[in-house]
Amino acid sequence: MLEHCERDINTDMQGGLNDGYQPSGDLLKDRVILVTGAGDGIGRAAAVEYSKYGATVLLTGRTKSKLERVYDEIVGLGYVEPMIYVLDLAEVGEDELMQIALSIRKDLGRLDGVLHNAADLDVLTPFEHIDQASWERTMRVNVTIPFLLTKACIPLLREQKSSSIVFTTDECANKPKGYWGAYAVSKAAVQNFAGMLAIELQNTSVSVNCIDPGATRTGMRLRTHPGSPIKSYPLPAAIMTAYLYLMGPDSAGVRGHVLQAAKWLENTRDDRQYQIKGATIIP
Amino acid sequence: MTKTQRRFLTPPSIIITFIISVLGMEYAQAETVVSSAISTAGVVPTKASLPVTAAKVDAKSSTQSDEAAKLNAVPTIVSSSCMTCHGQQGITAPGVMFPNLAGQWAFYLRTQLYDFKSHQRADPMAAIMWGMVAPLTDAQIHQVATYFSNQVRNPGVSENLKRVEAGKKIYEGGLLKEDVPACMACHGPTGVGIPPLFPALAGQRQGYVVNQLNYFKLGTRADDPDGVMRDIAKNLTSEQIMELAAYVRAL
Repeated sequence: MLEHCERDINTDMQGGLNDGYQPSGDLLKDRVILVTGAGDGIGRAAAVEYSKYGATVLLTGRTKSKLERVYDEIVGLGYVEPMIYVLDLAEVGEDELMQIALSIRKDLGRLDGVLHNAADLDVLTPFEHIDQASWERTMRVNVTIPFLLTKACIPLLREQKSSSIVFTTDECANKPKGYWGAYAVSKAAVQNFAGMLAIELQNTSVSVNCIDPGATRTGMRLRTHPGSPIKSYPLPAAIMTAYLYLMGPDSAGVRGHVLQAAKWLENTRDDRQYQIKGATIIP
Repeated sequence: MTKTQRRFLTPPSIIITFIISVLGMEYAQAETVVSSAISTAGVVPTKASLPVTAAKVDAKSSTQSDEAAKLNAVPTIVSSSCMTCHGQQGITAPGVMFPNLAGQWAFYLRTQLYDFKSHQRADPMAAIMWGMVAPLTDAQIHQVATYFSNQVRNPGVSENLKRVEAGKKIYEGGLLKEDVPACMACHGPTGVGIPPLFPALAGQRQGYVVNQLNYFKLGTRADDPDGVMRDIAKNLTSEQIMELAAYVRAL
């Protein structure tokens, strides 16, 4: 049991499996999926998408009113009724996370997937200006709590024949960029953690992968790139193919990979009027 | 859609009450069965007979039998981690260093789990358990200990008769000159131990017993109350330890 410490799975795939990937309508039928940061942005799009494909989504997030809005949106569209748990990753402790797992077993009976989507990004600034509280908060929300939440959920996930953990990473995790502070460090940590988990869990039913959503039309993008035209980025709904693929059974055997969601764009939902091609935007 | 119609996950505070109400009662019941059996019969019951006693109690009411069913259901933590090394029924693979847990006293199992958690039990093999126990809540520790204590013990096997005979002498009579008391005094003539403090030894894997006696001898395992096992084991030779392990396995 202590032998699985060697990397013998391929963790280098950079997407490219997307050629004509068409998820079937009941891809996530009867599954239960936990989404963190489900109140807005990519988490919201993923929650709606997973519900559309048949999953009961446990919406978690800091702001109850936002979660309720997503809840009503899902129910209004006639998708599978989700469930809400108000969860502030900056405040939650290990005990509560363990108890959430127990609540999931009691209320929903199972858990098939976790999308670690919530992330904290304070402000892009030279490193001398980052204070300890801000640094620690980012590392906590982006690394420590996803680790503890994963730990709490593993027993449930291992009970299923195929289950998924999806982490969210960022270009800055692999390519150092100035001024990204604790966010970049945390994303590098998360990607490493995901690879490590993928190796440790390679002989189980739990597959672990990362998605790099790329530039997307979200609140976070608006804060990191305030001057750049927000409509030049795809809507979160347009990058959901990769999220569906990794959460569903079609990705069985795909472990330890980092998918570039931008390569999985669904053109019919990409409403961009214009794109900035080849532009590198330095904040 | 009004607020009250939306579904919310059960808040943790309710779940805690739920666990205490279920596990706490199971635990209390199991302990009562054991203590009443001891007081009425005047002897320590073997663990194999315990589920039968519990079943008799259960026949009286359906709610109790529901709880007994829960008692014997495999807890998730067992199916997800313990069983990898200790076996789903608490019987390990032959020839390994991992102990059988089936039929061990719940109190002893719980004490060991907490000792692993606090790193008080720090023998060379203990680090494996440190990591395993770290995420367990009190409720889970209860659950695991209760579950394994309710499994049927490994039957004894005599492998090396010469060693078994020699081990029997030490186990039952001690070693006067070396100041080794009879193991039987605390672990019982049939090796089922004396709850709550003294663990059952009967049918235990030889490799595990040899390891533990050596750890006590070297002092690397130091979680025994008042150092009682360290005091005894330091006077045993390697051959005597092998003999004792062989006899304990045969019980």
